[in-house]
Amino acid sequence: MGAGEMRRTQVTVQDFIRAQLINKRCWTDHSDMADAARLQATFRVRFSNNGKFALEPELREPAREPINDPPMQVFIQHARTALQKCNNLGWQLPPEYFKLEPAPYWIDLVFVPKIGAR
Amino acid sequence: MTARKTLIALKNGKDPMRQFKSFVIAIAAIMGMITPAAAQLRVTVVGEEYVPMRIAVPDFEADGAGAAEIAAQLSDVLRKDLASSAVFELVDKAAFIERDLSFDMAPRYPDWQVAGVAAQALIVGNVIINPANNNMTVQFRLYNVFGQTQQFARQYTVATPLNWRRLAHRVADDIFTQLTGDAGYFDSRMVFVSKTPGEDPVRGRLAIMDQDGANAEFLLAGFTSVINPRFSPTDQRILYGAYVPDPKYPGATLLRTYLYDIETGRQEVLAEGPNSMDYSARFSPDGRSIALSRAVGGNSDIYVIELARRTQRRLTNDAAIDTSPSFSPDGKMIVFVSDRGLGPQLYIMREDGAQMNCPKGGRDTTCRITFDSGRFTDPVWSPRGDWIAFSRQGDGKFSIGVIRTDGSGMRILTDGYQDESPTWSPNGRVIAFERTASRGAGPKLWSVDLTGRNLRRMPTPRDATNPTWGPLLKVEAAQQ
Repeated sequence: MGAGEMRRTQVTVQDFIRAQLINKRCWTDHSDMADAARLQATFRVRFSNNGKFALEPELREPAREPINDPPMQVFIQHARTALQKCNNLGWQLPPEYFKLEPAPYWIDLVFVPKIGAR
Repeated sequence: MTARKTLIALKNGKDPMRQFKSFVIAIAAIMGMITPAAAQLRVTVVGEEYVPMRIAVPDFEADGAGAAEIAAQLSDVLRKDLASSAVFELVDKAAFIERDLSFDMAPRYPDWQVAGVAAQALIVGNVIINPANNNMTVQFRLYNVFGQTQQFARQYTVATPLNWRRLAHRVADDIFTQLTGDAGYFDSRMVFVSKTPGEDPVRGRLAIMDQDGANAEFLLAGFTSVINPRFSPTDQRILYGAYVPDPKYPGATLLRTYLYDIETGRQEVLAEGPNSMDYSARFSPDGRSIALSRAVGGNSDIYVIELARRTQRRLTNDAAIDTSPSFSPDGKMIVFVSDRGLGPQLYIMREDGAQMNCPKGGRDTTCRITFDSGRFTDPVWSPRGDWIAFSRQGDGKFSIGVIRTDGSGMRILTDGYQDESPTWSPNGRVIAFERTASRGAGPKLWSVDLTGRNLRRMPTPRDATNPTWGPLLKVEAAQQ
């Protein structure tokens, strides 16, 4: 796959995943949480061709759920639930995803509330 | 690894365990089971639309004489609490598939995941009345349906089943905390001034109710012209002003500020100078001090009074009218209203009166944070500390709004003929206020959440003004 085609495929994959998380209401706005602008959680995922995660999503940022930060704990939990919800519904990925190299193709999903979007 | 291979490895100067680990890692990497240091693609997902979380709350199970009726009532109050927040959307009971839930068994998660139910959270509970001593125990479990796990469980025991309503609120608060990360606000009360339609607008009696409107009753039978009650953020005391006969001038009235303990009924005159009038009193976050406006010779300034010793400090000294002080939750800052800048605007200052860096630049003992054509009144610092609620009069309307403490991010949450007197819920997510819908209409209490969603009328027996939201009530139940 050439660099141009690679970039186009990446954009397509980004749009597919983002659209499913939002349109299927798996991930919704969390702007009403305390100090919402600081909240952000990143999960690393990889998909298999049956429309499910190949492995359980892995929390990357923060590396661990903070014990003394209930809003962040809940935010991470909600992001995890969003992934589970969309996984139960089944992911629709463009066939090009499985041609992306080097395989397996890992994706970091960064969850933010609307108020924190930059 | 065989003994022979281990021996060969040792002879070659290599640690066999290290080699073995490297081998496993290499295989796992080949199979794609270990995540790399960096992903190939990064996708930012912004929550665009606010969607309430779907939650299923079947009636709690019951065990013991009279438990079934209480379980049904408690479940109903719990559902109403959660639904009233608009953070949650209740799953219709008619949609439930699993109807033989047991408190001691995990639910059948797929039954709660299917389309039509689609619950994200499920609450299963149990009410037990002990026939030996009439104690009541309420147990509940909160399940994460998509994660297929029990997220939280708790039980409360109280001496009498009469406390079932408070336990319902307490369970709702626990669930709210688990699912939002914020403290709840359901087990709290609100004091307000109750008005009888058609009566002299000056007349009003202090009243109290649960935050959901239940258990409304009058306080202080003798006082009929009460204004500006303010709940302590730490206990069940309130400050309020009352017009009473002036002993010096027969037929005239005098405004006094009182401190009243709802639990003990004890009350005392808080402040009364010979040639001054105190008003707009509000507690500090620890309940040990109050800030108020003191008018002397037609000029009002802000004072702080320490309650135990009644020591007083004057914080402002300006020819303008300085009024309506409200503390930040850490007690270090005060927001107040002053007309020193042509029309009432919001200002902040340090509680010790020292100079500070102003958000718009420069250093001063007071800093203006609103620069707007409207007239600002009733500022209240959020218990979270991040926002200040206010009333704003402008463009022919009275509105409730919020602004960040540095003066940025002003948002108008409501517009009405007359919306005023905001008060924060103890968790800083909801604002209650007084609304007069039109000329001649009676004032009612309403609430709106911090984002401007969920505008709701709060039920009161009569007309009502000046709401003040109390802290979460203390847990009297044994909790496990």
